[in-house]
Amino acid sequence: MSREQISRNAVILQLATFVAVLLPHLSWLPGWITLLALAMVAARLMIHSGRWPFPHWLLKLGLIALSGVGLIISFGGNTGPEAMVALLVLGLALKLLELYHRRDALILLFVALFVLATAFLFHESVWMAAYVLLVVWLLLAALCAIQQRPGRTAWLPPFQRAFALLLPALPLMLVLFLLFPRLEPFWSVQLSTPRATTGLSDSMSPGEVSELALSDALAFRVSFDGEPPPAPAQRYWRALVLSRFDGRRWHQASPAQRSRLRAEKLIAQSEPLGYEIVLEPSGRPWLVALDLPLAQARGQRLSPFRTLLSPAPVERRIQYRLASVVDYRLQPLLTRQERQHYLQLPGWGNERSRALASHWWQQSGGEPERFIRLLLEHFQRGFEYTLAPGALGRDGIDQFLFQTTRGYCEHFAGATVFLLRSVGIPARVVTGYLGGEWNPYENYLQLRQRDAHAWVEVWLQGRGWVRLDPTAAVAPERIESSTEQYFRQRGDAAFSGGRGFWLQADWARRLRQRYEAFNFAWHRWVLNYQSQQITLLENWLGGLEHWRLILALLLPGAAVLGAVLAWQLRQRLGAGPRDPLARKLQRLQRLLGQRFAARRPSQSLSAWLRTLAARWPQQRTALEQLARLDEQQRYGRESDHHLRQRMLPLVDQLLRAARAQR
Amino acid sequence: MAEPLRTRLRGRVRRWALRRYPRSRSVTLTQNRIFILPTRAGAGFMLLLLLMLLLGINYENNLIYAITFLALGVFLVACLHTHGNLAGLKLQALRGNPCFAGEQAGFELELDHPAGRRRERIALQFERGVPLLIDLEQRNQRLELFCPAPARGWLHPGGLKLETGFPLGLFRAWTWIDLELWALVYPRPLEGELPVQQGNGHSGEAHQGQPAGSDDFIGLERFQPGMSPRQIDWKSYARGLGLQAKQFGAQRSPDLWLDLAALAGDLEQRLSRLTYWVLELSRRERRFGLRLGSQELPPEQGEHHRHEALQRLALYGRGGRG
Repeated sequence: MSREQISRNAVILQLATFVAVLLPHLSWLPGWITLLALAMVAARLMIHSGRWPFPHWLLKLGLIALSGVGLIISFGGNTGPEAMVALLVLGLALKLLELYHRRDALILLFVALFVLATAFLFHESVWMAAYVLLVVWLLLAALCAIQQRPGRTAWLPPFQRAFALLLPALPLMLVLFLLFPRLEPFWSVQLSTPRATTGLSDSMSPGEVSELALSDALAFRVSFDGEPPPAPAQRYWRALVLSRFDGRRWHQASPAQRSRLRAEKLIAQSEPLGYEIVLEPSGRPWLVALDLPLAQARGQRLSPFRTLLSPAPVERRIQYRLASVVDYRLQPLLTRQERQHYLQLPGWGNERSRALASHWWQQSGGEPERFIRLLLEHFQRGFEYTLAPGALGRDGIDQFLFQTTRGYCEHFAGATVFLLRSVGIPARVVTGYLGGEWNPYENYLQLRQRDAHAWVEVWLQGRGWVRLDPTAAVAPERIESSTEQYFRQRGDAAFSGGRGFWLQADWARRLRQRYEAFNFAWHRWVLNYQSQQITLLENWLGGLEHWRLILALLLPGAAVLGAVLAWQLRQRLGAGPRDPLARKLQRLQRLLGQRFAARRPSQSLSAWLRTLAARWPQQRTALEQLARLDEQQRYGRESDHHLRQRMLPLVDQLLRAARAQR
Repeated sequence: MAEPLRTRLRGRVRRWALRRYPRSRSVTLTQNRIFILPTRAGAGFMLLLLLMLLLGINYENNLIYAITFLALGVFLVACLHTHGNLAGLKLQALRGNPCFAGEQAGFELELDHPAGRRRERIALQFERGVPLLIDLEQRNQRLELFCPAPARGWLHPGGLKLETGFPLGLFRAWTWIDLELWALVYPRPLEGELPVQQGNGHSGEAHQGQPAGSDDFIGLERFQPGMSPRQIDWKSYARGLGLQAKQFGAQRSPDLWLDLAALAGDLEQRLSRLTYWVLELSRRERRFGLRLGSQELPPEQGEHHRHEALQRLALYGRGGRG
């Protein structure tokens, strides 16, 4: 049957499916493939309308050769999924030209389903999922249509049939999705399209963090294990420790330097806080953690200064679970080497700042705490926290401290560490994020790139590394609220340009939060279900023994399939005819059959009624009348409706009499 | 090597399926009569599912897992739909239409199914017959199926196969049923000399002189419905005299006796030649009698007589049905 020709409708549905499957890939497919695919669709339409003949095999061969050359030029030795999908799309496009028999159509649709699935490699939003579901419907309709008789032209039945197939498949999908064990990849694969890097970089110079402050892009989201999130002033998310200064930029310790640093010792002084982070792709290997994590998550590395690193740049959204403490002592003792490392400064430059620091140092009598107080008091006098601090030249710290006195967090952090180090207090710059927006609908904290922040850690004798945020001295409200709120309240010019006024309205914010909550739930429960699966199933099923899993798979599966089967066979299991007269007649036959004589298959209804009339004299007239009416109804010309109206009361009367007799 | 094995296996399944239920005039297809297996396309689909699952596993992509499971769900539901396309169908044997040996015997069936559902693409086929593809839209539908009739006598068409791949072609559901259906197969007509005997029976005298086919025209009479259209005198119709039927002299000529004994040769050939003449004489609307050994059919004419004669020829020396 596979050599059978398919209907014209089916051809159109195949073309529509092909285009629908192609659409999600347009964002990355090389232009020539898109053009070729659309040209093939157009060519098949010309063939369909009878204007062109089916192409000669030489033409097809030429197209195949051209496509092969094109693929090699576009993808070269690259064997990532893009090359595979591009190859499949080309194959589909060329197959369109010989779409004639049922077998061709089957192959086309099967490959199209595969290509449709690969769309999820490139786009994972809930919209894409909804779109793919619709395309699956279209694809099934096309599959139904190729089974139809070639002469059929109705559009609706294939879609109806596909819907009837798809609807019961959804609960089956859900059950399998929840229960199917997520396996480790069999071989390692990587998407080869390079992703842009976003977020914090591994060095800091004035102006870099404030660039991020204009970005609305999502950085990461955190949900806490049933506990309330820490107070806003405690929400410091560490990402990088920058300990080398070259006079202008702050850098991470080089690998050689890092190897001389011991892993820092953490003494927890509060209950650990469990939480889960969903990090957006950044193209960079560093990860964020709430102030100080107790340990790294699986597959991550912990640096000596307790920041987290991923073995490879984060190219896809990842999810990890951590426990942190916000009250702690870190590294109470420093070795001489470590001390030297955290005191490193260039030998020259920023002379005025050094002089100021030594002046304060004398003033404070060599006590670091008093020195810090003097420093923060200085910032509180006349310094401004702003996103538009103006450019700084050479000796940037001098310029900032004595001329501009305007700066963003990186200016304050950098200057503080410089001043501290110049008088021999070990200090380092820490970058990361501060704060976050609490989403009450899905109970999570959301941090955007504009929440990026830089602060200082200072090492104090007997206390270890202590966090010091000079920004808090200049703009204490910034610590309690988000950057956005802070600058909006102050009407900062650099910030007001970003969003339209209406987006700041309360209802708009609520709406946005709901949407973001939904997206987060989508990511946690669907896109990253593997990390939820075990706990979820344990909670639901009360354990993970094999029999529980098998039952959980079989029971709903059997229920759904049983329901479909029952629906398939519904008329046979149903209670007989729907017509009231026919139903009553059937009941009468059963009752009287038990009482007198059952109707033989060969007997007509009227003949049977007449034999009963002889045996049941009380109802004789009614029986005979009913027999006559039945014959008239079957063979006569009188309107059916009138006869039926006369038959119904007779049947009712007989039914009553038969029941009374029992 | 694989092909004969497959045919053998199919034959075995067919015989087993046919043995399970007695032959009957009406059959309702219940679940336990219907077989279902994935087709080659279905096997391809399963391979596709496996590839999609591999894709999902390797890229740790839960949405690919989801679409794979959705497709698997559709696959399972399609199995039920294919099964449901046959289940509940009621077949009623109506009759087998007579035919001549070497032709296709037609068998009439009525298909009846619960209302409110469409059944499409059901292929019906007798073991040796040609398949018929139908879409069922009304509550019941009559149809005629054909099966080759190799030899005269009563013909049973063998098992009837109902097969469907609807709606996706991923599964093939089929069933074998044995319907109480018989067709009478007349001998194959064979042209030859008229084996006639004239008179009132046993004299064995040949019809004097008049060769067959030289009927004399006698006159016209008014055309009545039921007369052969060959008798219409078109010339008079063209003259506007209405439909007139030609009367031939042979219709009033003495009775003819077709006698098996008057022919020589192979029995089947002789029966074939008699069949030819039964048809020929009926066409010419002549009275004839038939003598087959000890059986005798008195001279008569008309449709009923023709049928009676053909039936005797078909069944001569043959047992009953079965």
